[in-house]
Amino acid sequence: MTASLQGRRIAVTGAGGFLGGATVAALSDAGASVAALAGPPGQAPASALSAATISFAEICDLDAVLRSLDGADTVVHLAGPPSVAESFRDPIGYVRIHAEGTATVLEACRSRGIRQLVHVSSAEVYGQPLRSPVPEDHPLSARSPYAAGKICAEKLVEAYAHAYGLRCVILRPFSIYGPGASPHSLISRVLSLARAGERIVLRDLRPVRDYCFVTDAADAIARACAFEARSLEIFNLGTMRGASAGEVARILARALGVDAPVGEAGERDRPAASEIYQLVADNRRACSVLQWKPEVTLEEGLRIVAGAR
Amino acid sequence: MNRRHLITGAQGLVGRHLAAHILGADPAATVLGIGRSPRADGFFTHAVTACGRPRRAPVPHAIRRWLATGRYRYEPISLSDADSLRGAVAKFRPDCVYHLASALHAAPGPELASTNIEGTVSLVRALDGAGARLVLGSSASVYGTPRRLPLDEAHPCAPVNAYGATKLAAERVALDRAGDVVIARIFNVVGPGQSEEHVCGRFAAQLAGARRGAPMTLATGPLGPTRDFIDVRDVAAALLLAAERAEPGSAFNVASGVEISVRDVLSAMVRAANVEVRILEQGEVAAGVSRSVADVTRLQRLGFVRAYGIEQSLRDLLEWYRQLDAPPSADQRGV
Repeated sequence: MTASLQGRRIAVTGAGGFLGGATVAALSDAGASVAALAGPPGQAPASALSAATISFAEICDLDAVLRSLDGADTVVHLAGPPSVAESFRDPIGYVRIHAEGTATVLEACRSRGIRQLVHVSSAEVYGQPLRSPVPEDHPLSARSPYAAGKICAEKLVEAYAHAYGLRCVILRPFSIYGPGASPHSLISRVLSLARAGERIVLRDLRPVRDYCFVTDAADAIARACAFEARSLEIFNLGTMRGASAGEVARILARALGVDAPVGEAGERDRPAASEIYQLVADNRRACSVLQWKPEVTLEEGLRIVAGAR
Repeated sequence: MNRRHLITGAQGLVGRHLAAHILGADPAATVLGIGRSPRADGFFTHAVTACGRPRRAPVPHAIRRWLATGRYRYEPISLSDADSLRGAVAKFRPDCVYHLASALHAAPGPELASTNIEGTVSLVRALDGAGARLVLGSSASVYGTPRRLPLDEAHPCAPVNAYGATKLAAERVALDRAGDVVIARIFNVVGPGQSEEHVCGRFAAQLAGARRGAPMTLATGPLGPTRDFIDVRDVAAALLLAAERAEPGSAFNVASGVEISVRDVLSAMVRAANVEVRILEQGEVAAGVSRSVADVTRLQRLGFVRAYGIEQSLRDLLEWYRQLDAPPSADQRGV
């Protein structure tokens, strides 16, 4: 179980999203009163959301964000579309929501006197790391508009931490998975092929990612809220274990009871030169400082995913 | 009396409850469950996200007790594996086969077609010459938008979505078979073990996380539509009755015959949960069916009497979600 957040009032942006829903639950479980801010109605499904209060607005709408922060002492900023591939098709939209959206949240935090911001970034900010597992002080390098937007957002957070003394925690989740993840994710693709009894064919079996189960990531966010950041602190959220796309597909097929061969074919969904082949977290900092420990193994997590929609 | 029962989709919600019901109702009965997933007596094939924490859905203790008897066996066989299926049927020699393996409502088209239609074709072939009665688990969705209420079995079938279309196709495939077939059109199932794929499971999952005294807002889709809910344990009893007493070639509704709005279901569950909740209803009224209730005359003529009212079902479902956070008992650990 996570640290106590009894008496805390926490606003969560992007609460209608995949990680957002789990975060709202983890914070409520820890005793916090949660104000959930989801995208405009119709954009993100929020029908399974329960929090102390729920509101809907564009993340770049400063007045609406200010209202949702009323009475909050802490903000968890999760809002923003998650797909690297999609960001090549809509670079302008991605940068707007990730950069301008974060600036809006920071402005709201500043004027509301928020005690701490937990900003959820992404491991994509490392590009193709020179070392594996990759530690937090590794240089940043963008290989997609998504990563560029996330780096920009991190730099804005850094600026507010330095200029205004806003206490900030930046979390860099690696590949977060679990029931309800985007239908475009690798795991969702394997699921739909296996369930339809089709051959499991993926674009590329090689890329290695560090898969972190959604409840473990949400638990880390709760711990980051309870943690007293000095000024700006950065943590990787991963398991220190890498698994290739092919390996994930095989484990998942076994969990589904499907005896399907795993093959490779088809077009990539991102430019070839942008592919990252190895992205594994050095998670020791989060483990020691936040006293966080990922609990769900890849095998158990994929068994859960196999049973969910 | 039937003594040897084969259940497809045996590790699903209805399959598990049916196996337990048969084994409890007849001390001489044996059950062979088949399904695609590896055997796991402690868990359903689905997962649940109670309080935002996804996990495998544990099978209620009352059921696990029966599955632990030597009269229950399970074999992981996919319906697409014709040889293994035929072999299992030849070896087990079932008196009755309950076909409950099905892709759910929200599944994509290819999966609906392969599981619901091709799966039924494959099963019917494997049963060729076996002499067993086939009870086909169908759905209220085969009726489509009601032209009259309550929905009786003679109501025209005009499905309005892919799920209903594949279930209707499965009915036709089964009725074309040479042997004895009974069609069970199951309405909205509710009861312990149910996933959030279904509206009652979704409410239970959300409310199980609420704490007494802490106000909560619950976001939900439109609450206006009405449905006919039946407890999964009553579904199990109805399927066994159908296997033993229904006329060959007949179809009948498996339902409560009670029309209730989703709003009233939510109110009842909020009362059962005893928490303070503000309801945030959002979204347009969906294009789906706005009212649904079954005519259950045929089911009652088989001697069916409902044992669980909606209040009881909702209480038990909520309790099941609340216990998910309790530490697992020894027999639930491991695979």
